[in-house]
Amino acid sequence: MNNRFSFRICFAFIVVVLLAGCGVHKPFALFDETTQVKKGSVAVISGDGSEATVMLSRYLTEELRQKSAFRVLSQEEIERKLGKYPVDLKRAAPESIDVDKPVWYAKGEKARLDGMQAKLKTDYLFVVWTSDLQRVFVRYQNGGGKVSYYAGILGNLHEYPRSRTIAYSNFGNSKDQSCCLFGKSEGDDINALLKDSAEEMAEKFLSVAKAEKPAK
Amino acid sequence: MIPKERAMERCIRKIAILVLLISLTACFSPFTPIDQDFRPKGKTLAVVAALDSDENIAVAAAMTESLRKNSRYQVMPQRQVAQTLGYPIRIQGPFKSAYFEIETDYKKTDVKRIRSIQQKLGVDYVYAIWTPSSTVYNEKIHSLHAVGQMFERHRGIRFQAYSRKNRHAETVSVQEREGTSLHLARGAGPYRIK
Repeated sequence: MNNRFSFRICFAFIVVVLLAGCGVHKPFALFDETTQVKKGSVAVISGDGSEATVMLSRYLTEELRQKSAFRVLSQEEIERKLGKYPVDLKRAAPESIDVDKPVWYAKGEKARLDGMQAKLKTDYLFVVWTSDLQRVFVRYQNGGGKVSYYAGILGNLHEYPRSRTIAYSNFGNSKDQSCCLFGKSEGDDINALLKDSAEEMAEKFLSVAKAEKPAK
Repeated sequence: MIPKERAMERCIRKIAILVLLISLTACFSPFTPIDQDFRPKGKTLAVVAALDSDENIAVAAAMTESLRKNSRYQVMPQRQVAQTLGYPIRIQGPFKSAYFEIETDYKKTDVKRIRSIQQKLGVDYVYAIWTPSSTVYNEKIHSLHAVGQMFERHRGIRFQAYSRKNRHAETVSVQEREGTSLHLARGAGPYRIK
């Protein structure tokens, strides 16, 4: 029993560390709290072509369309306007990232973002990435165990016409496995994790921007 | 070692080999003909990297080279495929999700896009290959999960599918009827997909 108890404490610690990303849990935060996010139009951009990032950008788009006063471009509209989408935006080297004002894309990629915005003509680009998608196995010493999924979520809000990054997202999320019961699959679990993450990002973004859809 | 232990060791070894064989045969399907009456009539073939990742393009290139060396098909070089289609491209593939493993769903393939690609390339067969998921270890790809479908231009579209590493042998065939609708026969099928 003691073994199991200590193992659970260890597991809880690991999950907390993963979730907190060494103490960071920022679904959305402005670089400068005095920055005003004006209502207008926004496009959620998938920062790479991975399945997880593509799904995250879809879910975030859905969330913002449902809950915000922004005009939110659909992913299909973005694809149609950009032609080739999603594209892999090169990520900045970890040592070059400012911890307080993290810009996740490499310096050379700003021109690509500007090129995208010129075609999309939105006031904001919300670029998102997923990282370190993991399947975590924990086995209890005296039998049994559990499987969880974990994903790191990153984002940057880029403002136009000034073409500057004004906000970021940096957090982790996890979900216990429920798959294989009631016809559910592993993909469903990870989709749920990503949807939950998108919801958290959207809610924080909208509360900061004060851009929630007015209640009817 | 006493004879009893030796016998036990042999038994365990046999069981291990049996389990390995079962798992390999059950789950690894390099190429599965769907329709047993299928008679290939075409001569030209192109392998298409259906996703834009470097590994997908590399797999398509390797497959092209292998088919050029080992088959009687006239296989279009990858450079020509890339130029004609404007690589990199992304085509909706036959899977519901592909995070750690590929959950196949053959109704999801963008058949319309495949058909237009086939017209552009002007080949009898398009072998589209997707590698949406990989396991990375020490920053190197440890295993690659792939799924492919081969489309035939004549007599409608048929495809054979395979998945590797995921080890689900799927058999699917598609026939185009009356030029407007596609029926997907799967198991007892058919399901209307368009």
